[in-house]
Amino acid sequence: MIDGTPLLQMKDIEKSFYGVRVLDRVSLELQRGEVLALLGENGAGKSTLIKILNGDYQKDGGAILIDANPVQINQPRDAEALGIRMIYQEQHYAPELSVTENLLMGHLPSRGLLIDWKKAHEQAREQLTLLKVALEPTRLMLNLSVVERQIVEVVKTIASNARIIVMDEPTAAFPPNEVALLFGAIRALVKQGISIIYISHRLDEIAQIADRATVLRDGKLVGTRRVAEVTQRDLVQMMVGHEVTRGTSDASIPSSTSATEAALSVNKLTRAGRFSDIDIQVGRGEIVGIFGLLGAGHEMIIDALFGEVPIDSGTIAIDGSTVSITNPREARRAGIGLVPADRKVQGLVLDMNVRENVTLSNWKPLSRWGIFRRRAEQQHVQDWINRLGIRMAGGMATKIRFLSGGNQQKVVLARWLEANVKVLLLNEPTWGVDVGARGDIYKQLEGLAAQGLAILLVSSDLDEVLSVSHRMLTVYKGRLTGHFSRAEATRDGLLHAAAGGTL
Amino acid sequence: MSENADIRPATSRFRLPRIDFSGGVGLLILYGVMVFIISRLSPYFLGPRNLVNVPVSVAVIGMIAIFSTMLMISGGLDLSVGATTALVGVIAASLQGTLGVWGAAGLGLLVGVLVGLINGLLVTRVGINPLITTLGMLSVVRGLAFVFSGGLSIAMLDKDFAQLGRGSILGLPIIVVVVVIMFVAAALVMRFTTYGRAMYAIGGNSRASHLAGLPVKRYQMTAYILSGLSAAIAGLFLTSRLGTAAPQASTGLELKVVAAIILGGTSLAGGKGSLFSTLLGVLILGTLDNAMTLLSISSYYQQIALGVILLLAVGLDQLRVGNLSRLLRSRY
Repeated sequence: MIDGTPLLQMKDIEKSFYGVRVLDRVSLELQRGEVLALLGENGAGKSTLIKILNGDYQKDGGAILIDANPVQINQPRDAEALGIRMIYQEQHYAPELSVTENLLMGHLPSRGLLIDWKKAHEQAREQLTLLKVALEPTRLMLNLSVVERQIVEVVKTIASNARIIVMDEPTAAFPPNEVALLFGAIRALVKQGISIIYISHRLDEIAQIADRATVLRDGKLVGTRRVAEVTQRDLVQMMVGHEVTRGTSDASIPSSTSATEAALSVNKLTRAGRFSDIDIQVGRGEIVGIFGLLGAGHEMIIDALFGEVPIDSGTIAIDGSTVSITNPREARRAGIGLVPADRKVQGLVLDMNVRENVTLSNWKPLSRWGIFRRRAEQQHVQDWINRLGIRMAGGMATKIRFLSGGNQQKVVLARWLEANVKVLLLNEPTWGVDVGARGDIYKQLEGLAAQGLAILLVSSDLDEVLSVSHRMLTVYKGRLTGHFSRAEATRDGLLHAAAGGTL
Repeated sequence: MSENADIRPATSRFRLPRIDFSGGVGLLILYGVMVFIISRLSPYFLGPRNLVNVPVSVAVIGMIAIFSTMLMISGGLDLSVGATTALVGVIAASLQGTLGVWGAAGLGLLVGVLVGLINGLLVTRVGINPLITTLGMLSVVRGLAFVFSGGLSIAMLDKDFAQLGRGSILGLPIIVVVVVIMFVAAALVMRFTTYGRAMYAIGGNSRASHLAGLPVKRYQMTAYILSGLSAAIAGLFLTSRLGTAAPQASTGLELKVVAAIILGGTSLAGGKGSLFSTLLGVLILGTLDNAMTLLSISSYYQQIALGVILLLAVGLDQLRVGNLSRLLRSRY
């Protein structure tokens, strides 16, 4: 499979922005028919390296060789001519058009002035079967799942004579059980001699799909390893440069959940057609994780608890007294906070600074007659910065958009702690957060639980649910299908229950 | 340790007034250059009489621009302000006999509040886009002004009432004093109060503000009501200054207001902007108008100039946003 000269060599690539060196003599080799994982935390230089390969950026130094011949890539068109294709995390497609139209855009077969639809769908189907994808080409893009759309993107690239395909976090929005679909397509690509550069934060995926992994840290090459010869732990260490702790020791679980009083008690919560008869108890100091596959309705349960989805029947009680929650304001008043999945869209005001984002949910104690007490606000915010270890370049006046994903997430956490909530809901708490920072967030959650906060989190990341939750629930088609203590929980057990299997 | 070291300078930096040095100072320099050039072209420009002319002539626009800026920072827009000044003037002038001058003026203010309330309800409860809502209301309100007045101008010559627009305190025109006080008060509100913070938050990200527990719609309502009220106040001052209320008064005023605000750098998308820059924007437009009059340039050309300035200002806004996103993209 792998012969002498590499298909692609990037040698001693250098790049600086405004005098800051973001790539320092980084080299990379890609063999024919190989899947090479490119790893590194945000800011490690992966994206810059890839953008140089694609002609989006100009390198300051170094050389790019294809088949051992030096090439000049000055613009994306040059990269395209060389057979280099990018598949980005954010997808570009026409939602109102069919799979066929998206695949053959610009090359639709015609008969006179009219499009030959029969032939078009046939061609599309041919391309899809090439990658062993069973997908009806007449379906509209908007009706496809995220995974299916991603696969259409992949299929599109091979139809255009690609030799090198770069995938940037292709599975970021995938539920775990559907990753296999994409991997099937990737394996079919590789068999045809196409090479893949695969960027992902998910190490278990790397282990499954990649032949070798190249790791960057702080703009420098840490090394390249055969994936079969290293453990995931080794790779993480290469990425972050130090040991990473993930998850808790069993010692920190509250000794007996039945003894702790229920801070949040949900009884027979039902939303017709979405979820029904949901019973959840979360005790003070307890972390309960809900696991479900995409579309299982688990995220909607959390939204309902926060007043964003109306409920048809059922009750919600906080500290034993029933509360009525029809909007986020009432939820906050009842003592419930929500850390939403999409920080940038739902969580943060990006034009505001750290201080303003931290205090957004609770101005009362920080103001008198509607006028901010500046000193008090600063002290409160500083307190949370210290307690949660929020890191930023320029202090609390830094615009929130310049913080890393993990630190942004901590700001949203701090907001609800500042608002004094008793129950914290989290939706996909570590989406787009670096591996290194994840462990930190889990640790913070445990610390907060230890101080008496009740935490209910929803995640489609099985490892996440397994590593932070004291108890776990699974949701399938809007119903609770499983209930696990930490001792009982296994990957297989949770997946089985979340996929509708009976216990 | 290093964290604490990072945080300290910023805490003290917070004490400095928040002036947007990229936009505000640039605008101030632009204004300075403009004043210099015009004073070379016309000897009357810096004369004592004319120095009072500019602030008086922009006072009406300034009053409205203050609250329109607040509204735009919160992500809203109000195009019905010009029509509202006309309707309020017409109502006050025609009812001065029945209700007394001040009663009629008070009713006028209520009408302004009502227009703002309807705008706010249509935007927040019915969910019509602000541009369409207030464009529709512009037409309705302007029509009402004509219906109410029968298409005629109505004199309003009460001596006390005339003081509003023509009188002075300590040698300064009352109307200018009022607008300056309003500017300062609004700037303080935007900078130091929870209300101002809410305006920025909602304009910056209304979804996140809602999920943080802010009563987003209620805040938006108040911004529309204040906008309507400010148009009513401006309508009364205008009527007082002219001594007459006409249904076609302030036609196209909304355009000037928006132009001044955008020129100041407040984003149409919301979340960004400052009253200081709006003040400069208003002054620049007013000075330009004044200069063209002094230089005997036809008012037809003045219209063209206004349009060009608006397009330039929006173009600059776009370029600024473009630069920012390019900068962000190149960070990694």
